[in-house]
Amino acid sequence: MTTTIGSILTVSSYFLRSICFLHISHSYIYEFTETRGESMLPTLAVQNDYVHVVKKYKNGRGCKLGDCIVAVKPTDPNHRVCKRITGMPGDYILVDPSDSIYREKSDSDEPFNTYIKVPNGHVWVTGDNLAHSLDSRTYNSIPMGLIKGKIVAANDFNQPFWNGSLSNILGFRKIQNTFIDEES
Amino acid sequence: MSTIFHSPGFKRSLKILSWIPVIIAFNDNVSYIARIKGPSMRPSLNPNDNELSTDWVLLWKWGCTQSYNLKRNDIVLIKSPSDPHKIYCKRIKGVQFDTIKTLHPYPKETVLVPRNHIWVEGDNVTQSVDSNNFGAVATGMIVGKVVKVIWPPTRWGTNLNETVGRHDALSLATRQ
Amino acid sequence: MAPATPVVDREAVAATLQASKQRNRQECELKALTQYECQFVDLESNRYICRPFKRLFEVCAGTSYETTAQPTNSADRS
Repeated sequence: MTTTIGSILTVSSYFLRSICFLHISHSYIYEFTETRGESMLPTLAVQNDYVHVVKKYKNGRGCKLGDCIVAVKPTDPNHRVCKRITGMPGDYILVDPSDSIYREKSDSDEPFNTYIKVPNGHVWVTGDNLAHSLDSRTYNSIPMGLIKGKIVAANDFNQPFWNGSLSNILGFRKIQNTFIDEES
Repeated sequence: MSTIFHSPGFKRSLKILSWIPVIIAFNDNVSYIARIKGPSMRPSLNPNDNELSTDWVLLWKWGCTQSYNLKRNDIVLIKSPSDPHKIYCKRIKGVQFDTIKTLHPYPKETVLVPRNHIWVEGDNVTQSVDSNNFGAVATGMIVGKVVKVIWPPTRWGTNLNETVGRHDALSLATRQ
Repeated sequence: MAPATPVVDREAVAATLQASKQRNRQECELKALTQYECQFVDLESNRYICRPFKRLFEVCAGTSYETTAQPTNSADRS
């Protein structure tokens, strides 16, 4: 009897320690997690796309304009969003220059004349797919304290195991900073 | 080589090390003890100026970002919206969907607290950087809820709701 | 919810940019960030078409000033 209880205790203690180790490494070091939704097309697929998140960038530490990040949704602490940073603290950025489909019909200049200055400690985030993304254009800039990490790479499980259209294992590719020098 | 790995000292220290993640996970998600700095929550916390007698409080963290666990006049620790590496200790003066009458630096006279946000203020209204400066805060920014003062011993059993700061923060429309 | 953020117009931003240029006496870098506007053409097979949308920024002394305007994207759109 005592040996049974003892072995149950041992097993659950090992279990607890492994779970906690996993949890700590997920929140401070690295996480591999699924993403969903069309807001980051074409960078991330609508479903079955898994991202590699580095947690060194937690709380926005070392994040730059053009980085892809995972953050807690400001309107729901139980949801997380993947977005791209398009404004750092102090930057002047256009609130919403997109929506070209409607733009072509109306000649209004307003979308190119509505700027905000990103407040201290905040970042402006938008999805890569400006047509279908709920982001800073709706909920304003987000505090860096909500940033959980930076996406450095992704695996697209829609791709075949070997040599898919991305000619790599399991659709692996790096997610890069897209803020680049403009050659005129 | 094998002698080091099979020595009882090595095994024991490995066993102790393996519990460290458990302690960190507990401190991050369940409960933690924190030191309160500064005068912004006076007189509820840090009632006097003495640097040596700052209050240490017990924090409850489990589920502290969920709106249903947050009530008006709860004291919470939040990450500062203007600097994520700073932690503020404030009192919740408004929960989601409340209408708040704001104070001076805030540009609008009343404000509706959005879904899953809170309005926080220091008890010491005049010496506090709070929602009147940076607006409502997402509940995701909450670090923990202050349960009780545990140090210094003279402050055990302090009623944290004896003074609750400003009484006219809620606009009449919400009170009804 | 972020702090109450005032909206400013292009002239105000241009003036700030000009002031920053004079203060720092240095060349600003022109940078670009390309985002997209994607529309599904076939929901069942998840096929979609993306049109690039290039956003231009002038970076002076660490601060970015967006300079995206109507003509900066017109070439991609013909």
